[in-house]
Amino acid sequence: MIELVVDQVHYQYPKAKKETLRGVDAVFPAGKTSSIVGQSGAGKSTLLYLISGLDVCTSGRILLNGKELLARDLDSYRRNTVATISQSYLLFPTRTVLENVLYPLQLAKTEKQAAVAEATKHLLSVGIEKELHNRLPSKLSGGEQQRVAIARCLAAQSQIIAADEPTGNLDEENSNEVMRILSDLAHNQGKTVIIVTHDRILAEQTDLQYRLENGKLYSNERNA
Amino acid sequence: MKYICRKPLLPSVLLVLMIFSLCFMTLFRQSILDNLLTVDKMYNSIQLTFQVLSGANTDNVLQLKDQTVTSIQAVEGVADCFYYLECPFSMRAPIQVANYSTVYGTNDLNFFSKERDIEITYGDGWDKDSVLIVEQSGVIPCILEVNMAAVMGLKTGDTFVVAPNANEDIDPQSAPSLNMVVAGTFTNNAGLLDYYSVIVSSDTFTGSPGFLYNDSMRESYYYYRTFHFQTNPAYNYDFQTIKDEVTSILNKDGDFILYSNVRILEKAVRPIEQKIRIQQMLVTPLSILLCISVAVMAMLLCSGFSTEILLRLCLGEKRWTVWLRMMSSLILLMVTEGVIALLIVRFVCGTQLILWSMQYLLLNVGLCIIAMAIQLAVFCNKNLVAFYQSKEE
Repeated sequence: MIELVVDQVHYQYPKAKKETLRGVDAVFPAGKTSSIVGQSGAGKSTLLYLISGLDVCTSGRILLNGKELLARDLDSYRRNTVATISQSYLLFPTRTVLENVLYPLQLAKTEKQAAVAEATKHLLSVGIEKELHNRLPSKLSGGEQQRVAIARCLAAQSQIIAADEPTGNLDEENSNEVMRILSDLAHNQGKTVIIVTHDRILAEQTDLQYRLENGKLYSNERNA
Repeated sequence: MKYICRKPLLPSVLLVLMIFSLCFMTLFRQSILDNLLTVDKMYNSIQLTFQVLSGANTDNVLQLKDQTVTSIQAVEGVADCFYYLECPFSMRAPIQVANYSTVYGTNDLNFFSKERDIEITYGDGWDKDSVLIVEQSGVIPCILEVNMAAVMGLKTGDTFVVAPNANEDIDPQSAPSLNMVVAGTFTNNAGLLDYYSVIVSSDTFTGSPGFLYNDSMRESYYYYRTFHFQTNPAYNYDFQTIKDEVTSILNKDGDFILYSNVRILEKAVRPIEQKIRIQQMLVTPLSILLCISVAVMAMLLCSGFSTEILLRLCLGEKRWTVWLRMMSSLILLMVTEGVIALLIVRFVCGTQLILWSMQYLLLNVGLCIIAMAIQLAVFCNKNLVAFYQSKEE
């Protein structure tokens, strides 16, 4: 279980005239779902990129259980600690569903047979039946693709799930299903789930809500 | 590699482009070689003939000295020579003819007959070669004008006597007699030879017995009246060198002009040589253009895998590992496609230029690999946030 703390984080894009994030402070506890809402261009996704380890902040710190995340640790952090889910699903287009979920296990050098068994287990746990395992992602519905992405997160055994508009391209039924899975990951498996969304209704389903305005984060705590 | 092959469109287009590039350049190169061979064959097959003529500042009668002819014959590349000499003679028997006529000595009767527009009929047992041989008996074979032979009652095999003297200052009776045997007759088509003309071997002019029997005769009549020579076709590429050397020899003798039929050769080979020059000029730019096209296609293929690269980086794989693994797959793909292209070219174009095709293919594949390596390195070193955002958009 990992508690992620964002401490006075500033971020400015290269060639940008002003900072996108101007001293963001937040705590994302383990075992809870957190949401970040805000208008388009507020910097929600930027914060999520930093949490996902895609880049380092211009200034400030990101702490994992009190230990600072450094630039040299980002590859390892992305491999072992954080998993990213996106509204575009981010699946390998030329790999089958099973091969997509196998990927983090191959990175971890898991033995092949064991890796296949584990990948299959995770796919079944998110409701992807076996007959879909050898299909390419393009042959799946949006909801199924998002669940495959979640199964890959489970295979990576990531403690932090960073979801950027995970239900952006899904209908209501699939959106609810995805939210149910994410909520289960947090509450029953102790993962730190952070969701960026512009959907306030979806945000209200999370345990913690943050609002990003003018580069600063404001919190709306509610009891889980 | 299996993931690359699951998106077969770009690899297929790359393969087609590679095959086209290789086939095109191989056929282009084959065309150049074929043209070079054609030119070579033309040079080796066309017989160049040179003719020595009197210069503009002399009268029309050619008077070429023997030592000049000897020098020309010694020039490397000069093969066969055709000539004749002439000097006056008088008939002694069977009819004593008061007027002097002309004896023509040649080394080639076919050449002489064309030159003077006559038709020669050989007697039984005689031909164009045997007439030019003087036996030890000293009887000189000759060709007579057909009507003159009839008037004199001479037929093939008959002998008669001539005196090789035409100098007014010398008593004709003091000139030695020469025994002749009739080897054939000639018909005077264009009237270029007089009635009493006799045709013999040019050897009889200087040999013994001979028509130029003393220094005075030699001084007056030992000149070549026509001199043609042909060059060995193997020297056709150097015909200008031969021409210059012979001209230099002629200039030491007098005012002469050297005429040749080299225009025939030039007219035949010039268009092809021009075509070859253009083709050779185009080989390099075409090669570069086609190689670059294939390399650009290879880079497009790499670009098609940018999502794969981004995902692998986002999922925590190290940049250099991603680069290395992608390069391994792509190199394997390039080598496979290269082999397929080579096999197809071998089938289409044959094996003659297979080594050249392999060299060109290596260049092509090498350039593609370099281009892909650079493209992959650019992707693998991109800022992940910018890369991620571009994919999200």
